[in-house]
Amino acid sequence: MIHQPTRIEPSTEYGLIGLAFSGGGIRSATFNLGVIQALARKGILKYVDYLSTVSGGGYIGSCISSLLNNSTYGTDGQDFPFYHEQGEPERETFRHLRNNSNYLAPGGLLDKLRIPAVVLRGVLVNLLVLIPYIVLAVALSEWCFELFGYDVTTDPGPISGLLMHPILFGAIGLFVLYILLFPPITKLLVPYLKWRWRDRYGKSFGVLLLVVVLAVTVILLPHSFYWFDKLDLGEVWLGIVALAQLLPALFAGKAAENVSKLIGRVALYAVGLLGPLVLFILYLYLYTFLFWDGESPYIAWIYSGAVVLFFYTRMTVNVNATSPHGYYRDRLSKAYMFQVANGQVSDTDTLRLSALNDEGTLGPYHLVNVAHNLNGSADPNLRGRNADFFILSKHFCGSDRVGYCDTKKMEKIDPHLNLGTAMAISGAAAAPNMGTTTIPSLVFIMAFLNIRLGYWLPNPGQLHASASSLWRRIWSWVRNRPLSPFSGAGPYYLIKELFGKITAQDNYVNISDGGHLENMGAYELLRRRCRYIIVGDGEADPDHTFHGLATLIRYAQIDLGIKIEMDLNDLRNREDGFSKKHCAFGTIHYDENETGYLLYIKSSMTDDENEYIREYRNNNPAFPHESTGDQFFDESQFEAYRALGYHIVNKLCAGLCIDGRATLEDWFETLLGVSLTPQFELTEEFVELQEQLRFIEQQFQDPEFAEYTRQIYPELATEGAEDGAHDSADTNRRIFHLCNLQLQLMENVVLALRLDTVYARDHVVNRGWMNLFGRWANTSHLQNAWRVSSDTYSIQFQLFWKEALDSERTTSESR
Amino acid sequence: MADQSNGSGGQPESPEEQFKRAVFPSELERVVERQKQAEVDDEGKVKDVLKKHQDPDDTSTYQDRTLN
Repeated sequence: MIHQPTRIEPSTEYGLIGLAFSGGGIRSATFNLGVIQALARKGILKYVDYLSTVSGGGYIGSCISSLLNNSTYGTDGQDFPFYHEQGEPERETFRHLRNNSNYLAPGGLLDKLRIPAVVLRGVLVNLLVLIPYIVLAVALSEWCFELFGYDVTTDPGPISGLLMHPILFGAIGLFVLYILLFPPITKLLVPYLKWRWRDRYGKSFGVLLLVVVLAVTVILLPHSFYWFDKLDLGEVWLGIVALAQLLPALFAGKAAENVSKLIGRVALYAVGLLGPLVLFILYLYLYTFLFWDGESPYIAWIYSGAVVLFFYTRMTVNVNATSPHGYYRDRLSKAYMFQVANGQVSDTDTLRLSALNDEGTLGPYHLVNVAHNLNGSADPNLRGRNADFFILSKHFCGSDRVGYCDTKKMEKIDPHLNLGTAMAISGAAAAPNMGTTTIPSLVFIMAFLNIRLGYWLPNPGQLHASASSLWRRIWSWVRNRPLSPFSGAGPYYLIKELFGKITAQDNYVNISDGGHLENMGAYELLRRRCRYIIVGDGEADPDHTFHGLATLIRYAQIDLGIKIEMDLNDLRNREDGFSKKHCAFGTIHYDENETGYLLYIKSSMTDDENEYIREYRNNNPAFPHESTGDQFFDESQFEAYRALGYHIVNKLCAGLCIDGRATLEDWFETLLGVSLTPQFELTEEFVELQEQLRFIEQQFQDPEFAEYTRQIYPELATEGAEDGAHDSADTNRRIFHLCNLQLQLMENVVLALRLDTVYARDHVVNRGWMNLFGRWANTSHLQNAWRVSSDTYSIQFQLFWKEALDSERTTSESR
Repeated sequence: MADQSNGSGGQPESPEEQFKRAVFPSELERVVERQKQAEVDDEGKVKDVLKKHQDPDDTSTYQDRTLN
């Protein structure tokens, strides 16, 4: 009997530990290099089960995964590839990354020129793909004009005369009539219609308006040839429009920042129209060339050429190969995919995803997060996200939308897919269709200008379907011939990108930067119910608004029903530009029975950093949130980000001694307390509270308070000591006031250290205060004073007294 | 939703089921292997919990969980 493999529900019971690196280009990669260095040095990394990366986080994540795929490296101490021994020169691994921090154009002028050359090459190939369609439009136009006896070379006269054209007149008349019928229909008919029919009726107005617009286009189109010829500006217009198309590349980012403003939106639409405009001018130019002075003798050549060009591009163009993806991927691969043997660096460019984490190696299971773009999908569940989650990993590629397929099979069908490619796709920040960050008005022009870093991957769902029937197998065979017009990601997918009509049903899925949907990289870790999640956030967030983290928390709540609680107040920017802390710790409520913890490490400054980090900040005030557009790091920049990441984790783990998984789990539990404990050594509060305590201690030196002192410290009690009942009324009054001083100090400490929470009370740092308060609260004097004055203190302190002191005393007494 | 079978001629399997039957378990297998290799499975926790969740007769490995 064959037993089906069991379906395993993700659970925190497994105690899984996940590490996520956020997006943010080389900035995040370098910051997280420091983070993972410190995690390895502190003995934490070896316990990490999952590494989940997005975009720039994937640069360093893939680098470490590729290095750890060599069994000579490990995840602990000196075995870690980026371990740096004090007093020793840096390892070659380090030097290689530093030397390649200018990865996009490290070779000077020629390499810098490659970027525009790659873009230009792609634009021309895109034109080759589109020209057959323009020729087809020209041929169809001429056929229509001949059919209706339309002479486009004659002067159409003033535009006002066109209003009386029968087509336009009919369309406008129909629209007006429809509106005239609107009142009686709504009064007599609509109330009795079902919702669906009412909706259709509403939509019919839009259809009629579209008919009017089409009518105007049909009327004006023939005359555009006349005006185009009369102005004789074809070449000039084409040149101006073509040059103007560089605008999106130069200003799209800036305009996008102001997209919410009206002017910004108008500007974006104006820029976006330039793409269709250049194609329209090409169309006008070609038509006038072929038909203006009678039929051109070249017409047969041009038609034949268009047909040849159509099949040539269908057979040879792969939109993945003609996009800048290859250039970007190779540059990234050169910088981050390498191994070191005998001091020599060699590349691991072709390291397959399925070959990762092989037996005997120690790398965490790597999840490369990408966004599955679905701009053309009508699925209401997307709610404007325009994308869905998608993973690339050792065993499987896919998503809950299209399904999963074996990575080995995917690599066989698309041999280009490997770790380097996955890293580049995950970091494909600039693309026409980019999930939640898509700018609809720029989709066409960005695709036309070949600003397409995304990738078309065989659809995992279709791969399964392809084996299901004979017809599909035959079709699959035909499609997979190298020069088949239907093979690979052909021009059809460029058209899809141009018009933003990308869905999940095609043979290929469009995937791009995971940050186009979720930039922390922790979503998939939440899906797997990791009990402990560490997030290294190096995204650009100069105002500390935590956009990426907030998005993750929102998606977790909506999609997975997971509630994440986290207090970020200490991470917010103060007026001096620094934050109080670098990290926050939160609780993940998976369900009623399962809880996890989230350690959030923010690329931030608290003014406790070393001198060269501060010096870099002084010279570059945007640090550590310099623009992601800056992918050309110099030495000081690289080191400042790396050192910051290292500093944050090193400080967080100060004094930590990991001895087994249980110790690590204890550390996580106590971290919540740490996160709630203000860093008193950095504030004046600590000094002030100590002053108050010193004052109280001085009061106790008064002989009148001897009995009270013995109550607090019964160990000091001796036989024959005076009984508290014999204290004079004046002494009691003075003790009462002293007790109030104590209570006020206790309240201050409770509020400052958040001792109203269990985690903070249990934390080792606060143990001294808790012991002292316990002794005080055990005295009859303080209890009497509390009974009298408790309602003059804050509700937090009252709760603290009840939960931490009353209940503790009750427990002790019951024992 | 993709029409996919579980590789043994059974009913079409939804991507969510694929995740629970194939994707997540195969990842856990690797986690167990790595923890053993790194000598950090001091309690054999993942393996123990996995055993608790699995059918006692289920001896399948990653290779058996392929989707095709």
